[in-house]
Amino acid sequence: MNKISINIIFVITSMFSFQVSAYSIGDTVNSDIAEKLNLAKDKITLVDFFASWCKSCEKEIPGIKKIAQQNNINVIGIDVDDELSDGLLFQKKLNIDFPVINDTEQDIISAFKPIGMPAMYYIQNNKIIGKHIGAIDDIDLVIQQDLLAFEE
Amino acid sequence: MIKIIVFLSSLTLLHGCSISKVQPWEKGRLANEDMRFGGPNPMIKKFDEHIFTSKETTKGGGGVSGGGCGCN
Repeated sequence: MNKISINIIFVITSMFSFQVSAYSIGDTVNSDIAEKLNLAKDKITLVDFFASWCKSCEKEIPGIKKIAQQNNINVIGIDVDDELSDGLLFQKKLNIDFPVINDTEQDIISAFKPIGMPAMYYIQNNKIIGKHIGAIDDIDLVIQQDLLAFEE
Repeated sequence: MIKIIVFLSSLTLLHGCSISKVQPWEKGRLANEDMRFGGPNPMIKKFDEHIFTSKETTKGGGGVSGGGCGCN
């Protein structure tokens, strides 16, 4: 293969962006991200991605708050608003009382790459053991069922 | 040789036309009121609704329940 052919192949392949695949069930969370999330060692961590502009996320927050009051799960919210003030206002409006990381640079969510919002992941021992993408009714009941299923 | 250079240059220029996909978590800006036709101007919004009503012989349904996240 001559040099010109190699150049042509290089230009053509560079035209396609290769997307790193999203986290799916069974994947291990990157150590940098695990450190940022401060994952619990002894129990399941529920990571909930939300934003002020996402109405479905807003609808799910009261259910997540109920779950956060339980002792058998560690809940971490990730606010992906790129404007910190919007995120803080949203958190204040909804009285979010579980720990929230303001991911204004969106580097945590870029690692997870969910295909929609809201996005929720269950992590245990740095491994994704479950996830829900998109709006879900009665999220607290769904999470309870998931937790029972994980225990089995 | 010139043909190849022109071809490669065209490919490179075309590559500049490609756009990256907006990810679900990057839609905050798109959900803003000013991203709609006419933005926050109520007169343009009313005018737009009038065109829709005249053309479709129906009205309403202009509001959105979601915030641009594509989740409902």
